[in-house]
Amino acid sequence: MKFVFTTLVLAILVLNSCNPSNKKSSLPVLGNKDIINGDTIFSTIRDFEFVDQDSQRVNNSTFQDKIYIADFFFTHCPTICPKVKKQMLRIQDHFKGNEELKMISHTVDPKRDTVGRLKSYAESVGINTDMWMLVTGEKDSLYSIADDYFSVAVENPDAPGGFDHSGRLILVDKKRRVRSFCDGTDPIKVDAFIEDVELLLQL
Amino acid sequence: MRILLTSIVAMFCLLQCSDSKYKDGQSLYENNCSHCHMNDGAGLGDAIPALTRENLSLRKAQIPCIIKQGIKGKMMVMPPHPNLNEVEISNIVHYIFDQMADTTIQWSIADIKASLDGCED
Repeated sequence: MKFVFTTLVLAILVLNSCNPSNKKSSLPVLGNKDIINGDTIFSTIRDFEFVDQDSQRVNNSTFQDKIYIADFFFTHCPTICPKVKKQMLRIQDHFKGNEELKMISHTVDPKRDTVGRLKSYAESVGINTDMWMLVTGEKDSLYSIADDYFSVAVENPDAPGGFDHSGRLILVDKKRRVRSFCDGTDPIKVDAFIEDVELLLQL
Repeated sequence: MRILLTSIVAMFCLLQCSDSKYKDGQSLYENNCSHCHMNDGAGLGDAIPALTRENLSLRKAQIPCIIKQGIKGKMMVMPPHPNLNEVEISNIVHYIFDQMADTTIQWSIADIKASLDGCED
């Protein structure tokens, strides 16, 4: 009797700890927040207006009722960008056909990354521009919005290619709030990020 | 007997230590080439060529010069690598042919050096 009882207890403990999906069921809102009159106000992505590879205007209303992934890059980048783009292609394929998810890559080199150049780059790399836009615009606007995305974008003649920027991928919800980010060069981190995207699509 | 077993285990472990028999080449490749050509040599669409057997064979003789001097592609420019000497370039070349093209090449360091000396400006 004692044997049966012990086995049963052990079995229950083992089965409970063997849960293969330690998946999250919620995503925190990231960034600064203020408490105003008892309400928590989270910081959001500011108003923006850029132009994409097809000369189409891209602003906040482009992402109305959508969640999106943002990053910063430049087409002449000799360091991290190819790996980040590779991972973003993986994300593009994974969510193919999903109308609720968009992706936006901002150039930090608006001088050389003209609309035409962005278009050629998109075609060359295999980017589906229905889902994923490459945008350019005023340098100050591109650089200052990087802060909202917890990303770095600065001109630096000592940096390879001439620009310092982070390889982060940032996930933004329908209320313009950041919900997740990862190092876009690391496939394992991107796996976890993809799970966050899937979760946000359901929330 | 015990010594024999330990030696066998040790040898087995040492053999597992590297993905490729060109360990130095692999490490040089990862530090100098993989951020564009990727760790598996797959490149990036048409912007950065994949290091396939076909692509590597097409330009086989030029590869040491390409590594040293860089090359202008349609979309992007591969930068030069003036810091790499003929031994390092030889290691990289052997590694990429072995790992990505499944080909063993028979170039000596002297062959690579001669090739580099003949690079067009």
